[in-house]
Amino acid sequence: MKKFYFLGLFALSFILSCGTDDEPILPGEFSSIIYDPQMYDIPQPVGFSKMAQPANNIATVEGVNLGHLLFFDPILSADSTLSCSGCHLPEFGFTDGNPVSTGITNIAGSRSSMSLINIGYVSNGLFWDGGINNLEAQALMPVEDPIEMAASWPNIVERIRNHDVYPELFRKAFGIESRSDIDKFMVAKAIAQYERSIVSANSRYDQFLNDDSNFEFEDEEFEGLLMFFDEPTASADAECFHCHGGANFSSNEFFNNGLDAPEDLVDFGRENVTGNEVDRGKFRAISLRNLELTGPYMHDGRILDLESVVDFYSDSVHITGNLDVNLSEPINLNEEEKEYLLAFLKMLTDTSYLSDPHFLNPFE
Amino acid sequence: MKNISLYTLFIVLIFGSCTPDESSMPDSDLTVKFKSFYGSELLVLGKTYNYLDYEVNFDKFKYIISNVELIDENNALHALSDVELIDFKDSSSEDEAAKGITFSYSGVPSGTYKAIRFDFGLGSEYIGKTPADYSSDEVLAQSELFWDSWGNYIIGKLEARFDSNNDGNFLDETFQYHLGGDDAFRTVEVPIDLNLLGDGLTELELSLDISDIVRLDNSLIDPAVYSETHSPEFNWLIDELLDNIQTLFTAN
Repeated sequence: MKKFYFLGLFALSFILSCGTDDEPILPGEFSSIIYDPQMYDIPQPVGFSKMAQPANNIATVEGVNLGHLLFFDPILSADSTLSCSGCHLPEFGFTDGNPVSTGITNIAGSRSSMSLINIGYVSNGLFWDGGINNLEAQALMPVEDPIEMAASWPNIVERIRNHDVYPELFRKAFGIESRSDIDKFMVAKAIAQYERSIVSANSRYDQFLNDDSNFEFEDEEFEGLLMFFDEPTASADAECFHCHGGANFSSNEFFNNGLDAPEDLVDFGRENVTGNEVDRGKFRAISLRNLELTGPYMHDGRILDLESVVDFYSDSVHITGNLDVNLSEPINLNEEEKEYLLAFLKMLTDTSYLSDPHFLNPFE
Repeated sequence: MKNISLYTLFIVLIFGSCTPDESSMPDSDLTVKFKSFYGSELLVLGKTYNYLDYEVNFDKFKYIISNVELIDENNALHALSDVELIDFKDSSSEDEAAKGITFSYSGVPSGTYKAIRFDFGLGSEYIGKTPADYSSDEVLAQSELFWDSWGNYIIGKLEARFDSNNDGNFLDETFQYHLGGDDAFRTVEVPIDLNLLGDGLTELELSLDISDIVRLDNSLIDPAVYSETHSPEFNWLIDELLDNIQTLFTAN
């Protein structure tokens, strides 16, 4: 009897130890669906850092695909008319092409929709003022914002739990055991994973970086590049790189760029986050990649076209107490120099992503 | 006699066993705090200080240090960190400035330390590195700290406005001393008297006086003459500023 007992114990332990990762024995309604997420390889274009991801939300193929659907699905808004992509359209460089955005109630916000291109490389907080720490936290906000999607998370989560498709995709992405495991944080994680996968770096400037020996600049582009980076041979000093340097053409820092005279300042920007008066009127120096697609410009969309942006920095910066020191002297470009700078800025446009379904609305 | 000997032995054993044995002490937690001053005053961004015949407001002060390590009483080195960014961007009031910039290190071997050593800037092993060599959440991934044109890091920035004609308007003149270049680092060694006993958090405070950085031949640099450094012809000025910095850190 004793021998049978040991034989039985051995057999049981053998069977348990032979359970494979592919066929986990799980209780719950989704136990028959394999949970085997595959790592998603986020591109690292030339010159870019390796994108950091939160340890508890590393991108997977399944998570990114789920996030792609959720991002473009109006299911997240109260009346199912507005998706994340409503304010972040691929054809506008993942902005909405308006000075400021309006939600389902048609109430206008106070700031311009920010581009999500290369958003995973943005550090130092998100938004124009750095007021939120990461994409996961950001993705939670529009759903309940009364001037954006105006919904409530419990309702939205209930919709998703009862959806025909999503619960199975959450199982594949996050390993849930039943649809009741889906929560708002999981939704935000999937959207954040997709947003980190929005990488664009195939502009003419990138083509120069990738193959500089065979690349041919237009004369205006090259002169604009020299001005942008303050090369000694430049015909004029623009020195944009101080705030918009690096592979993503953003320092990720906050600056007062003299948009308003102090007495006209309405939005205090970074000061609203830090409480420090030295941050008054400071806003993020956004990435200049795909700038040609992302107008209107500035935090409140007051400047409608790129030419006017260059005019502003050249001639119209207001002198304020905490104006960035690099702008304290007028740049004063002539018309030819402005054209050079514009030619270089347009080199940063990459529309190749618009032919990749990964960046487009999967419901169209 | 035998009793006395035993008694003595007992005493020796007792007291001997009570002598702190550093190797048996638990590791310690250490906080290193960096503060900046202008003369005897804390550096507060936006505050007005006298500078030569001018008044000056500082806008920005930040710098990188690397290879941070403690030197113990036996000259053994104990690494604390590879790279730190000390950025006084929040020092916009006396209270904030007094908080300083702090870095916390755990697992520091307990013992007696006589110096803290670091490279002001990035040591030679960082030559040729770019933000692409780092994860986007690391200090050296920050594009604002990299000079694309020169292909190396900006290891320090001091930016200020000054009222050149004393009309109360600080907006008409600025100076920007940006430090960078392949040789733009100096090894700094600051004497300290630090005993880590593994019994709680210990704080080490390091101070740097800006008014002693911006000097040439022992006189304050006139920003009306030298308003910037980020041009090849001012490499000599970067060297002068770095030479000043090398000897200026003090420990409290």
